Amino acid sequence: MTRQRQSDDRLAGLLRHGLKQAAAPGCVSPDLLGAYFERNLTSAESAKVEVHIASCVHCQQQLAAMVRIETAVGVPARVETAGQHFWFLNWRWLTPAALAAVGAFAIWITVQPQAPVGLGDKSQIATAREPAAAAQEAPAPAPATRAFEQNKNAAAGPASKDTDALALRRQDVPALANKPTAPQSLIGRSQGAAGVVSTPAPVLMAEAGEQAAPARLADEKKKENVAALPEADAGKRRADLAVPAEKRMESTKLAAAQKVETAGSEKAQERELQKSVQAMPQAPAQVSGQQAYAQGKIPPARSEMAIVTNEAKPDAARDRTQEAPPKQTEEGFAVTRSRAAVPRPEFTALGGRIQWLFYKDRRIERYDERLKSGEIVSSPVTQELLAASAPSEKVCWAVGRGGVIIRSVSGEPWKQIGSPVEEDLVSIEARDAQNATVRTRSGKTYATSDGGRTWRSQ
Amino acid sequence: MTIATARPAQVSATLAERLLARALAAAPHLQGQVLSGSFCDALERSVASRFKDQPRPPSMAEVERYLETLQHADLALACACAGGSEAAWEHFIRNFRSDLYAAARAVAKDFNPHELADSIYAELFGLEEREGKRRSLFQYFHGRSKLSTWLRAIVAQRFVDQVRAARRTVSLDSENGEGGSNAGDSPSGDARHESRLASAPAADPDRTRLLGVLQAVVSGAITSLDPRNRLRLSYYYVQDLTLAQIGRLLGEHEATVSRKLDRTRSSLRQRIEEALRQEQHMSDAQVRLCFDYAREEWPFDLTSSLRNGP
Repeated sequence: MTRQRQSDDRLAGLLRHGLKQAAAPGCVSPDLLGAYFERNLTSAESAKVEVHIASCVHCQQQLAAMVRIETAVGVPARVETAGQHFWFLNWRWLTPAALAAVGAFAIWITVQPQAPVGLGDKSQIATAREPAAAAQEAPAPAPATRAFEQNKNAAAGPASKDTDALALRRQDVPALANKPTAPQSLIGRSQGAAGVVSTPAPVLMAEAGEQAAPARLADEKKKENVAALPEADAGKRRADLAVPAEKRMESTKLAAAQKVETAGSEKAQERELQKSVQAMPQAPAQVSGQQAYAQGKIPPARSEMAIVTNEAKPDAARDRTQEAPPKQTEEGFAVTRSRAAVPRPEFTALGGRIQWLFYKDRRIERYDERLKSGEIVSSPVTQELLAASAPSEKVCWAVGRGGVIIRSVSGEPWKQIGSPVEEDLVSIEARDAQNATVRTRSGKTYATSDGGRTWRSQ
Repeated sequence: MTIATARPAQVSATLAERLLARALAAAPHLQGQVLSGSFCDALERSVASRFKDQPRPPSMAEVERYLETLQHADLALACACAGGSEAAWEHFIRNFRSDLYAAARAVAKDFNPHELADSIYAELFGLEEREGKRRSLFQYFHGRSKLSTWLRAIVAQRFVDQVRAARRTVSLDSENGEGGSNAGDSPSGDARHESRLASAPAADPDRTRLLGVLQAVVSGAITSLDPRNRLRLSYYYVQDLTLAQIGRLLGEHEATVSRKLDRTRSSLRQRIEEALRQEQHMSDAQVRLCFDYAREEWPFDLTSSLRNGP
């Protein structure tokens, strides 16, 4: 066996040296080479081309270059326009596909009580990591919400395992202190949060107000300085000051209005949820979080969580007009900073009970809300990821710089798939493993219905 | 006896119009940008290219079957661009230009990729004029593959031509020290290597003879391989492709490529050793010596044997 291996090694050397060739006459044209590369030739043509290529280093080099291009750049995205619909008129697959669709719809109608999520529904959209004020929210699945409420009502005295986990996740969200524990209904970006699951709409509004406050303070100071300027300069500075502040306030108001609008649709869900929670058998009277902290039974982090979980306000609407008291927020933030640094995801995507967290160092965590456990893998691409969308527990898409698109399906490793552009992709909206729409930084949108093999511009 | 190249059947106007309508339905932005006459000409060029080597002209049914397999929308776009349509060029720039430059960057890292892409882009635009007519590279696109794949094939072809041209202009100093790697590119490669062999110090007087025998046996063994196996070996040993890339080119799974490469290597080794022992009456020790000498220095090239094939 050793002797045979040595012979094989020597043979490899012989072949490496000896397989150099010249170009054979009658090289294949790029048109035919392209068709061969795509395997669009008949078997007879393909065999004929292969006979030539096997003896022609020139053609081999071209094909090698083409496959290297494909490896480096990806499969060329076939940009289809909206009018190209003839592909579905193939009866061979249309009839069984239609029957399967009808059957699936019938089963879904029977089994699934909740309303379907359509493409236009913002529930499937996860926002990019952008400095924009708007954040988009999605309705929480009822079972997870119910579980959350159960954990809340189980009291925080002898902190349960679930509450501990929630404590760990909410410990860096000071804005949630004394705030209604709305169900996990929203996906958003919270600047102070480390691995935070959700941020209720009133909180986001409060945050928007908080963000505007420092800007207003700065403007006030600037206005004081302007008053001290000579008249001509003061007029110009006032004009300069007015515009940015107005624009900031407009964007803040717009963001808040959007959140209110979305939160309004959450209100009905919350009421239903409250009813179901109140109908549940109450846990025996337990020590409140504050009492537990005072008694030294639980450390500060958990007591803060206890405060949060025990002071649920049934009607979230009451808090929409209230702003978070700055002192408490500052304290909360101060407490946050003093803790050991908890890695924060750049953005997240929620699919059912599975939350996908994307970190700056290319780590991607798949966190199971029910099992309270996560697994971390590395992104298969080096490009920075900017947004993700998880239409279900089994599917998650992510997009990023340079047009990169990756997808994970049914727990399989993340794979890069074909992209329509090389431009940065800043958002993605996925319906399932096959259907998704991406948007570039310049505002162009592309959609796929075959898992990224082909894309059409919208 | 000479066989005249058969003139392919012309494309019927009805068929051309139907295919153009299909192309425009798929690419509505090309409405009014493609002349039916130029599209018909493009179809005829495609048919001529496809059936040029056939002794008899194709039937209408064969022509129609062939034309149905083409990428009509891409062909219409190519026609419109060749005709100078601004709307078509805008669409091309928006959807294909970036891929062209990306392909050039991916493959021609050390050969000024931007210049490569620029020159192809200029040829596509048609800066060259012949008989007062602007000639665009788009006229050579026959729709047998996607336009993006064809563009990549053009990039690959131009890149390979650049590399080969650069190799032919090596300096005299490097030429003198060069081994067998450039032998395939130069017509005098064989003579040069033979003279080098003759002038090498002969530590073993049988060295030259053994290497000569080995060359003939290896040539014969490689020649007897079927094209696909030979291609697999070339991709692996000469083009330095990965198993996955070879699989992509041959339509095989990576594991299949690996298995077949092993099998081909193993059968080649057996064939060579058998030929050396039985036909050349060499002992085991002499066979091992042959391989050792070849590993130290391989002065030959198998150009002629690989070119001729079985």
